[in-house]
Amino acid sequence: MNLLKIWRQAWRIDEMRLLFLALLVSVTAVTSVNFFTDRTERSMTQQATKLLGADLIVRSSRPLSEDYLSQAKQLGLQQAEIISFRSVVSVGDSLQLSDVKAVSDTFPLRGNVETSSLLDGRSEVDSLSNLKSGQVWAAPTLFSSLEIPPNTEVRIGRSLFNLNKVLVKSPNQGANVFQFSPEVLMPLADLPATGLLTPGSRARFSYLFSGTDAQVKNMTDWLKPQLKTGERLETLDDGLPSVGTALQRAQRFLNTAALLSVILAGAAIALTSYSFSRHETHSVAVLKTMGASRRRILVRYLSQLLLTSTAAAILGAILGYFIQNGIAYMLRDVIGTDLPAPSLVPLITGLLTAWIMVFSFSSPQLLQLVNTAPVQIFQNQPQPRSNRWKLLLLTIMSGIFALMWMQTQDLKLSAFLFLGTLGAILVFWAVSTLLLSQLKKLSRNRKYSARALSSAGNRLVLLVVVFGIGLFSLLLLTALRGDLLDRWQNSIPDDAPNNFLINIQPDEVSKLRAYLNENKIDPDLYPMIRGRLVAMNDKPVVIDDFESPRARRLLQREFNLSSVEAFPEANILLEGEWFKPEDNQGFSVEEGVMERFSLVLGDTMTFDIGGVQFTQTITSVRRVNWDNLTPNFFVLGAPGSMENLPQTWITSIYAPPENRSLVPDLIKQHPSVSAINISAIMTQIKDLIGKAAFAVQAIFAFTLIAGIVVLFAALQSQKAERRKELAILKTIGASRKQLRQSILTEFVVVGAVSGFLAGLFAVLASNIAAYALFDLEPSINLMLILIGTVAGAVLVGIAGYLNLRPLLNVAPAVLFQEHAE
Amino acid sequence: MVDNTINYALETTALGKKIQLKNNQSLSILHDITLQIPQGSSVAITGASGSGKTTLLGLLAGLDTASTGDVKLLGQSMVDLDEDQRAALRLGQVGFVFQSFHLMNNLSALENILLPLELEQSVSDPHKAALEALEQVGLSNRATHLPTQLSGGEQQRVALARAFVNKPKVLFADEPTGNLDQATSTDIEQLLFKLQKDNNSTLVLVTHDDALADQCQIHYRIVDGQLVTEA
Ligand SMILES: Nc1ncnc2c1ncn2[C@@H]1O[C@H](COP(=O)(O)OP(=O)(O)OP(=O)(O)O)[C@@H](O)[C@H]1O
Ligand SMILES: [Mg+2]
Repeated sequence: MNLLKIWRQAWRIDEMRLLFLALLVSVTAVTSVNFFTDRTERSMTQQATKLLGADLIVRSSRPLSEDYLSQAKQLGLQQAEIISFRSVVSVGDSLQLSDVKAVSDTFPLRGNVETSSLLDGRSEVDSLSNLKSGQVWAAPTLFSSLEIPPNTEVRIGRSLFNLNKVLVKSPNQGANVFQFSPEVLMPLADLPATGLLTPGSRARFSYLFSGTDAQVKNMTDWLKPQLKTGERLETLDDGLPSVGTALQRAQRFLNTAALLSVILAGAAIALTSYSFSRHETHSVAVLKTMGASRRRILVRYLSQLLLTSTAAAILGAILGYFIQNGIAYMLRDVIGTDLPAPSLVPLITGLLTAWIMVFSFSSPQLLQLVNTAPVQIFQNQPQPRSNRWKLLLLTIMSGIFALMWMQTQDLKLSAFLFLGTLGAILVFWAVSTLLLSQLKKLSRNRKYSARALSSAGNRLVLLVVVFGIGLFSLLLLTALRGDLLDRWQNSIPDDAPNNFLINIQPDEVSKLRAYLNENKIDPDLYPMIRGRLVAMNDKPVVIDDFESPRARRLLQREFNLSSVEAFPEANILLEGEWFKPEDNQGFSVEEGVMERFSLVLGDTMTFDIGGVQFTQTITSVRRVNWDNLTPNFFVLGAPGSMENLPQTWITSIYAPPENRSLVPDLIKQHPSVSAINISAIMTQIKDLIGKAAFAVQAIFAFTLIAGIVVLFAALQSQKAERRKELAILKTIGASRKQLRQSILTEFVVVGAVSGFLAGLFAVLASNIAAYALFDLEPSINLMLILIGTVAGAVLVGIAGYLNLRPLLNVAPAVLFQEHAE
Repeated sequence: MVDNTINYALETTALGKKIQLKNNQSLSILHDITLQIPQGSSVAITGASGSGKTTLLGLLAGLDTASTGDVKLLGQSMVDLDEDQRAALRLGQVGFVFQSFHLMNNLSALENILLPLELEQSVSDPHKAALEALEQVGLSNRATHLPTQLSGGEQQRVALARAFVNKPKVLFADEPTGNLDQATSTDIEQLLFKLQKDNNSTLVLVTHDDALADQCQIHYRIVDGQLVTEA
């Protein structure tokens, strides 16, 4: 009853309706983006877990404790087991070294295997329960290298198996594509009989687990302290670096988009509450003449704000839910249908968003309002005291930061965007004040329209800042989106490598290259030298000195070193200088390795390569693009510096599907070379990136709409003031044509100024963001500034004109109906 | 409720108002004003534009603070009161009518009149009291209308109803008819005096209209920041 009354009275205040609208838009934006990113993130994560075959994997070179399995069972996780080892598969006297995996029939827990009973037949999803005792499935390359059809009897260890199906696709192929040999799946139960699993054999034991997020987390928490040396956990992040980074970037982009829509709405809300406090000054003074205390007045306005924001939040959350539901429905083929159950979380997020926005953006004005001196009632144009700007800036900033924190839960991203916004607001403010004061000077004895422009003073500065921030957000997002999509498309073009050729002997390189050239393939061949890192700065490496599991893992394994003349295409040089052709000294090292081992430019690294100590000084640091599917190396030597070291060569090629015999023929000519077919992984990654790209587009479109709506709301907030102004101008005889001209001049100038500043800032920020957040290469795109200026002038001009056109018809008489405001 | 020893609704002693100017100088608007206004009387304050009429009104009502001297409103000295305490003193005892009406734009006519009753919380049926007040000013059929839907004269009637609804002991009016035409002005003036008598309120009326001022029992004129009593 009472609520209804507060609501009704609040609703009659123009600014309250605007506040409601701005909040509604921002809460709708935030909740729908939240819902949607949550869903797409999950969908992408699911996709990625399919590549891994599980949510969580424990691996070791020794048999794993059965306790892990029983604990997993207790926690309710699904489980599977793999014992993998390299072994020769033979038919008669043909041999092929293969990657044999003895798997339990629950494998894979995520994703699926696809098989075909014919070599070039259609593949179908299959289940390991169809792999009977005495049968094995193998990757197509095994068939081609052994020159056998399906349903052939093959020998593995002491047992004979019927190789009855072609394994077209299988998850859990692991991160390190260089170690692939044809994959062979056999039933776990058949493993003992092969006699291959002896204490000395170099098998890898894995337990795979899957379950709900909470179950996986419980299991991870339980497992971590249990792990013995040599045992390690593998999750999505470290399993597949390329997928991991693609995902991370997509998520960052979506979060950035959501955040920017919040900032947009925030700008509108700040503007609205500014005009709210101006217009309510008289009301407060009236209440004070009636004997209302400050507390009463505060309670009055707080309850109005609280009610308005709560209503907007609830409605916004509901709208947000339906909107994302609509999007999700339209995209059901892309993002899948097993979506998270609707929860109250977005509603709470919506409420928090609305409350934080309203109270952080309007509390300084509210305080100022409540402290209105009652004598102000006698003044026609009560001026809010301006000494609250600092407080206002402070509360707005902390509000924005709280929102960013809530939205991203990513400190780096929040801090980056926060500082960016702060800087942008300050510069926008300073520059627009300067510009407009110049205009004022200029227009002192100029035409009427210019004079009208200058009279608006503070209000224009405010508009420039709001539109500037709005345009800036959209331009920034446009730039990042473009970069991101380009990058993804480039990283996996249609002719991206689908085969790795490894184990090429140095004396075979030229013949192999000739063969590939004949087939119109021009491969980049890299020498691959395996070496163990034994010393840094002449100090022997002791594994126990390193805490980070990644550092320890790197030290336990052998590094793949290489040397190339040209700087690797997809890398970014961070420090130092790349080798000159005549150089035969130095290492170029990946930034992560530098970090993990606390190395700096000029340090030395010593590798043990086949018993030879090889020491070089670090001359440059690179960032490696791991989602590029060409061979990548942590450590590169100077061209020619490693010629005499024991090495094999590798390359990645694109074998067109129509040229079936290309790879098998190559293997026939070069029997020691192994080919790894990665088309299956490629397809999956492409699919994944397609989804991520789509999500990015969708969210971008949404932010764009939110931005436009909110900008309109901001414009609307000045309408009352302008209405009165226009009426006054009319009474003193300004024609409609003059008024139209003055409105257009004002908004075109405001739009151009804010667009110019926005473009300038977007160029700056997108480069910083590209570099710091998205691992993209910086590029100065001056077009952004031009686009910003023109788009600003046109859009703001049109929007402002459309918004104010109805006022041109306002009869001057309204002036006398409404008392001084 | 009222202490019987109080004879005056308003008393001032050596009241003065100075305005601090930017260049460290001060401008004395009012000085040395001493007056006593008996409860239930009507007082007019006139003077040239800019002479300080509104300033004095603000001081008398405790909306503003004096630079020197003191104001006693209903026997209570305001010199030591803070803003909220002065507001509490006005609550339910003081009413205002302004030149530009100052109705709350987001409240209907009736809601505007209800406002002082709701603030005071002493009337058992505020709704009924507000309707009666509206009827007294002849606008009972406009209860739900918003100020923007009312003419100036109608708005001022609502403002009068709002000012008198809680039977104030003192009513301050600053040029209440300044924004209205002649005929409407006369109506409003008559209504004002009628309501003042009905409620036995003290009326402090600022006006530039000498004829209107002469209808009051006491007529002060501000000349050079000081008070001159007219015949
Ligand atoms: N805050 C202030 N700052 C500076 N000067 C002020 C301020 N308030 C009032 N004055 C000045 O004090 C003088 C008295 O003002 P006041 O509003 O009381 O005049 P008034 O008699 O009500 O005039 P009017 O008949 O035009 O309403 C004026 O000269 C005015 O300019
Ligand atoms: Mg005055």
